[in-house]
Amino acid sequence: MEFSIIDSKLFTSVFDNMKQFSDQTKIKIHPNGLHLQSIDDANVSIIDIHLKKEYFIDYNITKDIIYDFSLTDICKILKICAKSRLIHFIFDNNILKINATTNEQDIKKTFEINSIITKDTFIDLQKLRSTNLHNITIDSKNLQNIFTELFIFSDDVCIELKEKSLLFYTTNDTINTKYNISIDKINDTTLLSKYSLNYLSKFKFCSLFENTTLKLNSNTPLILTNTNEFIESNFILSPKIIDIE
Amino acid sequence: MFFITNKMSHKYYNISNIQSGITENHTLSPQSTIKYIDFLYETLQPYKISQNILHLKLIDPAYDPLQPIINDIDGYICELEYLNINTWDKINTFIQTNFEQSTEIIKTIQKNLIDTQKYSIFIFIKSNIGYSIPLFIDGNDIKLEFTCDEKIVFMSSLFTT
Repeated sequence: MEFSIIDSKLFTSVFDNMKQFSDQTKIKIHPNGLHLQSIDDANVSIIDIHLKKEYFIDYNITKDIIYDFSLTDICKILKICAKSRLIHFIFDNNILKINATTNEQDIKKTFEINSIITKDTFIDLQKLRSTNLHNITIDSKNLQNIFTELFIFSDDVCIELKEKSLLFYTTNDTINTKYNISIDKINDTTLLSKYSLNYLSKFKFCSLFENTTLKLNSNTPLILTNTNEFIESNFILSPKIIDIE
Repeated sequence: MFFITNKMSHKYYNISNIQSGITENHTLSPQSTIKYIDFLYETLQPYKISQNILHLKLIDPAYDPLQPIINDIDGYICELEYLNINTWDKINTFIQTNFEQSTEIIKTIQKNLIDTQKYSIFIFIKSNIGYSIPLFIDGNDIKLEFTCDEKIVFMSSLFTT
């Protein structure tokens, strides 16, 4: 039960990003790849990531096992291994052994992490997708900039989908802001939801991808989806109460 | 001034689904109610001990689902306790001490929560200026948001496994 990676940038980013929200992650290793899921401490956001086996080299996982891991521990090790030319992961019962070979001086580093083999308590995202969500794909860097900038003014953002516009509103005691993105698709119904900018601005992982798909509906969880040939990432965030004032 | 949420009717106007975080009108299953209330208790217990000031925002659609009551308070958790036959004497005394008109409240809670053995919790939040919000939560029929220093502590639209 083992696999290796050569370019650890994406892999490290996955864990670094999860660590912004939680101290623990569940990792399901299975013959087709890795499934990671973590929920933040307040249980209002989920990061759900599928890494396909094609991302890895020498992928040799023959059965499904779910582990609970400390993100702090994994991130420490991955940070040290960032410049390694090869990182080799070996699962042996409760132990994850990570071997890293450095480019310089040919030092072989070995780390062993204790883990807990746990039961399947992954949240089924298909249930979340069953509602009538509207999909809008926009440039990831623009989206990340919007969240970062609006977080300067407020802790919450109202996202509205109206006709051919996607609108982001914030308000505080002195400043109201409105960002408007034109979209091609005409929407018959107006959708409005409110979300925490603290969470959205921390999800910098999406900026690794060219585009991000927002899936939203009124007062339902917002889903940010990023995909490429190796990975499918979903960030799901619960809606906040919209003040009726 | 005391604000009482009318949570004791048999009709529920649940606006959150604990397992999906989706805000729709339906009642939590008994098992989800236990998870929801246990998580609420565990989350708030440290704040009761620390007496940190929390911001609570709530929507209670029990009186009128079309025009739900929205309320805010900045306060500390004065009382946090599961509501059941074992804790009822303590909470009963607390209500008599802290509520101006307690008879009707006690009778309603006794009838709808204690006698029916509903898995429920009592939270009493008080501000420094005397305003307070008592909550009797027996499911997810009001929507709550607790924040501390702008950080989300608890929201009704949470995800659990």
